[in-house]
Amino acid sequence: MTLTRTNRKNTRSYMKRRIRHGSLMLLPTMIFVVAFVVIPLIYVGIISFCKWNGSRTVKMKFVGLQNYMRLGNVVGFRDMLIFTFVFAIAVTVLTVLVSLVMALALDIPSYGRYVNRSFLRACWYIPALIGGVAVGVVWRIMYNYNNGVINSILDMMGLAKVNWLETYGVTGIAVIIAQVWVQVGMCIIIFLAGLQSIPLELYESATIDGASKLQQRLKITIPLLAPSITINFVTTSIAAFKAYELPYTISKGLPGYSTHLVTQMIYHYSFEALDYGTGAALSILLVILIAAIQLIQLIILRRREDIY
Amino acid sequence: MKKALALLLTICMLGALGGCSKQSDNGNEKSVEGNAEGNTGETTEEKQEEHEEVTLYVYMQDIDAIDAWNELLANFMEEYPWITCELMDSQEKYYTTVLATGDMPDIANLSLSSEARAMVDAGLIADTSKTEVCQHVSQDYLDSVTYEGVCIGVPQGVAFSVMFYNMKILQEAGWDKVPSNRDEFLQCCKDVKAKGYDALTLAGDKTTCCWMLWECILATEAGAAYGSTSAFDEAFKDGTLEFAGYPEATRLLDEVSAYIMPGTTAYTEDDVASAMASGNVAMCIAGNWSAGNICGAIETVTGDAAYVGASLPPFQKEGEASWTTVAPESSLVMSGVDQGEAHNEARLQLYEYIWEPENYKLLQNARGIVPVIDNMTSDQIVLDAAIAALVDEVPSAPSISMGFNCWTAEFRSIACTALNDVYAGNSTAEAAVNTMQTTLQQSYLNMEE
Repeated sequence: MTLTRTNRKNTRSYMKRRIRHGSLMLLPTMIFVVAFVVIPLIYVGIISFCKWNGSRTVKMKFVGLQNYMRLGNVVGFRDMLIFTFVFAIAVTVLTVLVSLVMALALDIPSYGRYVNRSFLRACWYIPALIGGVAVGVVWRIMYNYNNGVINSILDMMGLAKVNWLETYGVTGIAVIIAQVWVQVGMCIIIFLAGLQSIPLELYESATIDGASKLQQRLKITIPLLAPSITINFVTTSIAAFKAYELPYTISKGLPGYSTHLVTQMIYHYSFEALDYGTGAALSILLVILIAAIQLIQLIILRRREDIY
Repeated sequence: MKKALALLLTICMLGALGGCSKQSDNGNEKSVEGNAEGNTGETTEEKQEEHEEVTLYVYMQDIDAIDAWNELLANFMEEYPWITCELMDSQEKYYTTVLATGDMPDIANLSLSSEARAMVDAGLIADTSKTEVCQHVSQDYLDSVTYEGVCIGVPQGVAFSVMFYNMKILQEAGWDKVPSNRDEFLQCCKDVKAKGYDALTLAGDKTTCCWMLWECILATEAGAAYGSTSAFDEAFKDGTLEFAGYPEATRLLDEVSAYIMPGTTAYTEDDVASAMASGNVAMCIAGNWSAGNICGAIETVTGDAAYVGASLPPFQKEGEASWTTVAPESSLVMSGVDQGEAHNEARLQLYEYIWEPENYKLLQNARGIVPVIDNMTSDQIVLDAAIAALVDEVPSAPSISMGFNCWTAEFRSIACTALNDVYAGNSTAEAAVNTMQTTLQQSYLNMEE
């Protein structure tokens, strides 16, 4: 009896110590999150109800919901919202699909004597390391109608040149391709990590049971990669909604507003038109959009993970 | 083996760092010696002892004459050894940060934009109207850069729109002279196109140049109706300018747009120079500030400077004078932030020093701009031959202000998007003009709020 009581006491004090230590370890992160995420977010929320030009000597003027009401009348707002969704969905789906296929290809143990697997993996990861503006400038040059490399190749093949940066619909595709190219590297790494955690015994027993390679991929690999797929879907879609510099550098939102993103409009209103209120209202709208979509995604994907 | 290699690399790195620091020490000694030798009277040390050491920051947005600026500042530091000048690189949205932080550089270049106005309101820009250089600038120019009684600075030069021609292509198309009116221009475009060349390009990516084609066309129709540059500007700024009221201008925009090179809307000013250097396009409309690059490009591709042609935009009717658009270039502004007597004095010294003709010629020669100060002698001003021929024409030519003097950021963005759609063949001039008309009024209403 005495022993049990002492044990309980010890356990309680151990738990208390753990909580205290854990809290202390979390404190620096919490301070950073509050200082650099929570407070700025609240501040943006406040600005979205005010009129302000960003000058420290000018006071904010409260205008209520005026900035939000104005959004509907902003020229190109509808096109911008449509493209933001199309861009995010297309980039997310394509990135996850391409990276999954590439990860499966890069997971093959040997490519023969002269091809190094690590080198190939590094090649796919390089785009993720380059700054968005640099990538954008390179793609913009490649898409140049008159002397871009893509049109030169089409020309050599006897095909008609494509006006990548001035044609409605085509420019959107051009921007999406570039964004996918950049994001694929990171997703491949996550998939590769997931693939390596799958026990080889599962494949061995499936082979003994007579399962084909395709069946093994569909019945073992894909289900066990579900957590990686969830992570990739969530991170890629957030990155796609937040994308700014790469699409902007390639197309500047042209032609018309067909490749304009919410982020570009936030930048325009806040830092070009010095209308921080409208910029902040758009930012809040984007935060709500991302949060809602992530919630839906997580619910669906987690349910899928549970099935597996 | 790996450890040995890492150790070797570390030793090499440390050695290199040590070498660098020694070299820079020597460099300092050398420059001090050099300064001491250069001065006839008091030595550098004596000069330094008399004055408090000051560091001045010079910021140039889109710096396009970095060597000239470095030379000018080095000369200044040699003459004023207690003042150190640091030239800062161009940064994206730098002035927005300045507005938020109040951290204003001592000297900067800035147009009278909404940012500049906010900076004047925040007391970040000094009134330069009392400086020596302002006595050598016409009152019109000073007025154009004055806001709320504060003259924000002296414009670096005069900007005007120019049509540049590759005369070799024009000659191939049967044109020995540049077109002198809208009918000739359209015919010339047609002839050039028939020879397999693209007729016209511009920097659609840069709002000033994107707007330039339309404003030059509009000027020929609306300019005369308003009577004066200031009346046109006022109407623009008031939101009462009737873009849609000049169907002839709209029609001409449509006709000219048909000859614009594909891909133009994505072009930067550098891309335009590259396109001219490729020899595939015959004409481009651009600001005189691009003359160096464009004339050089045409000369390179044709192999002869004689093939470089330039004229004021030829969009007027036959028998009428050419209209152009003009603007003071961005001004050199001085910080209005009080940083102590020694610092303020040094700042003023640098400002006056830059504008002394013998010093300013470094910047003028490097950029090929038309200066606004009247105390520079003709031998101090170097201009491209094609531009030099136009400089005398500009003051007498009828003109309106370039768009960036009048528009709001919101209007600029919407108008240039609409125009780029026309240039790319995705929309009609009428649709673009209607969009501009609505936006101008809306933009004005927003400002009123």
